[in-house]
Amino acid sequence: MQDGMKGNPEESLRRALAEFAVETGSGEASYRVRQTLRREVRARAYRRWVFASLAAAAALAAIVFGVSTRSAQHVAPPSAPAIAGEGRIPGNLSAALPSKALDAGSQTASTQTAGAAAPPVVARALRRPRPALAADSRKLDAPGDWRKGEIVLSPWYYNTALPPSARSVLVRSEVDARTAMRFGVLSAGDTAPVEILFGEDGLPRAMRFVRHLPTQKN
Amino acid sequence: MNPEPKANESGRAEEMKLLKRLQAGDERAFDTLYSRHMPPVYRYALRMTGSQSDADDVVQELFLALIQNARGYDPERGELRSYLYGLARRLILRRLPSEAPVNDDAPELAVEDDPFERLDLEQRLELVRTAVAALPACYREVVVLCDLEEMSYADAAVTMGCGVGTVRSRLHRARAMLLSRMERWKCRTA
Repeated sequence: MQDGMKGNPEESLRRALAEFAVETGSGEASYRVRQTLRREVRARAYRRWVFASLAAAAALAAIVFGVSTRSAQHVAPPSAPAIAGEGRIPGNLSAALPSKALDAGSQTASTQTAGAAAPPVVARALRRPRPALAADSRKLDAPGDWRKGEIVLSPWYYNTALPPSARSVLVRSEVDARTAMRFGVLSAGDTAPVEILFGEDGLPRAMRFVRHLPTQKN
Repeated sequence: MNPEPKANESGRAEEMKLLKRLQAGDERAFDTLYSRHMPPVYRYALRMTGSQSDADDVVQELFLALIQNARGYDPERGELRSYLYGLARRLILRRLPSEAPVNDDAPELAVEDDPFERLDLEQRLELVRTAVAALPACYREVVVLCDLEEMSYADAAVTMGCGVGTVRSRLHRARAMLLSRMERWKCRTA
């Protein structure tokens, strides 16, 4: 079939180019190209996932390491808390200590006291007591001669079953002689003076025994 | 108020998001960009090289470059399509055999007779295909971009990296060369 075009050659060329454009306008790249590119996209996604996983693992490890470091810092404080003053708090606070906590503490005590042949002798803190505590001390018990003497402190017995607490309160109290015996401490009387460290949640975190040495006069 | 610039800006921002997702390995973004930009790029490569396998290779290299270095595109400098045409042009010219530099100021060839007279559609298409493939690359690309892809002179100038005036003169010259070649071919076959 003849489909001739007569007229302006440039116009004919334009029409022929338009026909050519239509004829070649429906082409697409082969399926192989699409598959190759899709594999590359998946590989990138996989590499990104691996990188993100490694980063997450590193972040998790850093968090765990940080928590364990904080815990270690709590177990071994650089210095013992200062003693505000001597005074008896009414009631026996040893009853406030959970039995499990004391059991855990006693296990720790056996190992720690074995390692420490003699409890450290700490000079009395000369820090001025906080007014509130000092007032309580005066009200509960008049200051004796111990301020002029020395205080022997046992190592801290920590309750490792509880998470570390950012803030603590030191409370002086007494435990009965039987409880003191479980920690390897012999008491002359029915009770033994202790210092208990309570966390901000009100649960005891640590305990140590206090012994007052009489002033040696030359 | 002209809403077109805002539409262009939102379109570029959307394509930039797609590119970022593509680089992150998002297959949906790849599908969207591929289905949107592959056909024109493939047609351009096919019309320039005249070979399907070469056009496939150009598309593959182009999109691999896009996946691996999506940040090379700067939306401030133009649309993604223009960027892709420019990238495709470089890949195509790398595949074409080197030619002697063309003098744009050469005199035009006057053609009096219509070379398409009394030719059917198949013959006309074959005639155009042969004539376009025989053009020097710099003339072929201006015919492909402006006459076949229906790109504006300004966009073609951006893609080719030359001025609009150069695009006009090359197109004029390319059409004259096409007519001349077709006339000669027709005379030989007759």
